[in-house]
Amino acid sequence: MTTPKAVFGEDINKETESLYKKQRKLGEGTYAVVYQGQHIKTGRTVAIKKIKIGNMRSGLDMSAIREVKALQELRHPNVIELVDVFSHKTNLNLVLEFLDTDLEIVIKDKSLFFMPADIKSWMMMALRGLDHCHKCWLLHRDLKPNNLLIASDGQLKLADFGLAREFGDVKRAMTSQTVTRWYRAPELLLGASNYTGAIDIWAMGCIFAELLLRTPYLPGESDIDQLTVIFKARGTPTEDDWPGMSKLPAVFKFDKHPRPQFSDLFRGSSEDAVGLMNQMLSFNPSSRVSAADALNHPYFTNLPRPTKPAKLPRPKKEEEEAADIDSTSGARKRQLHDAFSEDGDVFGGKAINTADGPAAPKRMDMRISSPA
Amino acid sequence: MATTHKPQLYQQTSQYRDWRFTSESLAQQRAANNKQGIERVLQGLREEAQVDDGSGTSEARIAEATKNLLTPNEEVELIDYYLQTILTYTRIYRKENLLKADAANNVKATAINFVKRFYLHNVVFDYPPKTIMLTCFYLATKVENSFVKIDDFIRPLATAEIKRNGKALTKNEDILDLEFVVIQSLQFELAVHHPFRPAYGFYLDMQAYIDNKPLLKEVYERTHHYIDQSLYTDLVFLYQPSQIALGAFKLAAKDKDLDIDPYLTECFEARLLETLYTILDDIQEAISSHKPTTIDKAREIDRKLILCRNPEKNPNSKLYKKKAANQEDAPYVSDSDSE
Repeated sequence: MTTPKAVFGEDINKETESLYKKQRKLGEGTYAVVYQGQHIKTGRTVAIKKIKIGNMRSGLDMSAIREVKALQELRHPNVIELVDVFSHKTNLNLVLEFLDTDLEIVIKDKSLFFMPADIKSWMMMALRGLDHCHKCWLLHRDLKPNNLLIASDGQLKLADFGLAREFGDVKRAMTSQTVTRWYRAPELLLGASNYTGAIDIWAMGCIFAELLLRTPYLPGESDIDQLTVIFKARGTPTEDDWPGMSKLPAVFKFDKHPRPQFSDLFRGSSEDAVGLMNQMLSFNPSSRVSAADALNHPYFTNLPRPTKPAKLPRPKKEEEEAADIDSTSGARKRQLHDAFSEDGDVFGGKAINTADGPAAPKRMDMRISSPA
Repeated sequence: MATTHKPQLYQQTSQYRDWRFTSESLAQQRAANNKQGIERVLQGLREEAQVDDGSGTSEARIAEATKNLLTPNEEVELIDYYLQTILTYTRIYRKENLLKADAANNVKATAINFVKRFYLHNVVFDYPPKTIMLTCFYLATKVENSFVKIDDFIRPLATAEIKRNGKALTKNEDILDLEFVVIQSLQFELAVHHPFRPAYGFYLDMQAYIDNKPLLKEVYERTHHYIDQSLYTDLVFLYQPSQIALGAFKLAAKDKDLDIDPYLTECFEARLLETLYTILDDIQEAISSHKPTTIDKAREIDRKLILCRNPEKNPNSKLYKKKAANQEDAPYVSDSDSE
């Protein structure tokens, strides 16, 4: 064994920084700028997410800490890989694997046609990634199509862990103001401060429905409206459907909506698919299916087999797209997580601005969409 | 128990990946840091002498520093003293209600761990533990989901300082300016696994094997005392949290005259048990033999440290001020962004 050399923190950081170069800007939010970059020696293309910390009064902000902390512990084919981290002055730079599209873009691209086996493949990859997070006792807390990125080989990966935190300690309260509204579970909308991986499953259920419908399933216009939209779509739950519901902090007198026939809306979908989706969208969080159990659902074992990732439909390459729309800027911009302002109090449990802003009435689309 | 080939979840953690050592490799690492740290101190002093327009004082200054250089062991002793002050601060923040009761334990343990990890990639000559400890504490509140605004974090410190010295000394930037060097030295790995949770798991598990439940509960409560002790030792770099938890359990069981071996023999194969007992003995020995550094000893080392600080990293040194001024004069170069 060789005698170890001294390794000082600042030197490790400088060395890491010297390994990469930034090439072009891919997108920008108030919280971060994302660049395409390269590992100089190997030539590997990476994404470098530069988090601006400089103007934060209390130093490193919580979403940066949460994201770094979570990603350092997660190593899974269906979770975005954190390749390296370095800081430059007061910027934190996350070197992430480069992923060129996301599920929202795929869903919105009306030139793409989905086979049932394609949807099964995306759901399987998403649930595998989520199952891994939950096995590591981590909640993602911001699942939506926009945060499910897709690699050039078709692999789907969970990304954007700025709201992720560990769970499992029943005594510790957590904020219910999390998850982009359309994907927010009913227990969160009703103010629960103790919740589990079931909130991520609800979001996955919404994503599942969105894949089947090609449009957001439960697009509420405000937090109150969100519950109404859910109840109209799924029927107002009773205390029998969801024991304990009436004890949640924000419960009020709901309008009673009957439970509709799901088969009408999801006419083209298999019984298996609708069956699993219903288990993921169960009102009672404790009877909502877990990621591990969802993966064992007949939906995944029955035919058709999930499409191989490389064979999945994907949007046209950027260059083609740029040529099509005759734009000088071929760079597709992905909308980024906007930071919670420091006074937004992510921590005390008041308000969290999620990617679309707290009220997100409409999804802003910063991308150059392909001609529909 | 059946052996599986799937790696355990613990083996996928950054704690397992990057923060595992043997006693030998730890000692070597610290010696190497110390050696290179000293070279940097001497180099810094020589540079400072030039800033000092070459008056004859530099030789005397270097000779004085050389006489007072700290050994790797003295570094460890000094760090240990400041680790203990973390407990004091935890109590203060609890009293001020800035830390919730259920979070305080984890914040404290993570802060201690951060300081210990920090000094595997730094030396006290560059960064004395007194302020590093505070920055680690502050970072730990964030990492453990118990964020405190910086002004609130400073206030109790200022109150204590005014009581002691008549004026507040610690400023926001004293803590925040070090946040980046701390997080760099932690290799941007922030999740720390402590023995508290596995200890609770063992406690639940043992209830099936041990009849005297009230005594078992007492033992479990006593276990926390030994886990707290273990945080100050190097055990966290040598063993897994569950092993440390079980070692602490054995010590607590001894105190309360409870035999937990029936549980162990029931749960582990004889072959594994032999290895486990060796590990547990080692852990118990390390916890029992840890002697906290006394305040007198810490003062003595701190006094020496004043004379052997690396001026390059010391904001109060002439060299540091000159370098900082030069940087301000230099034309602003934006970072490597290709906008």
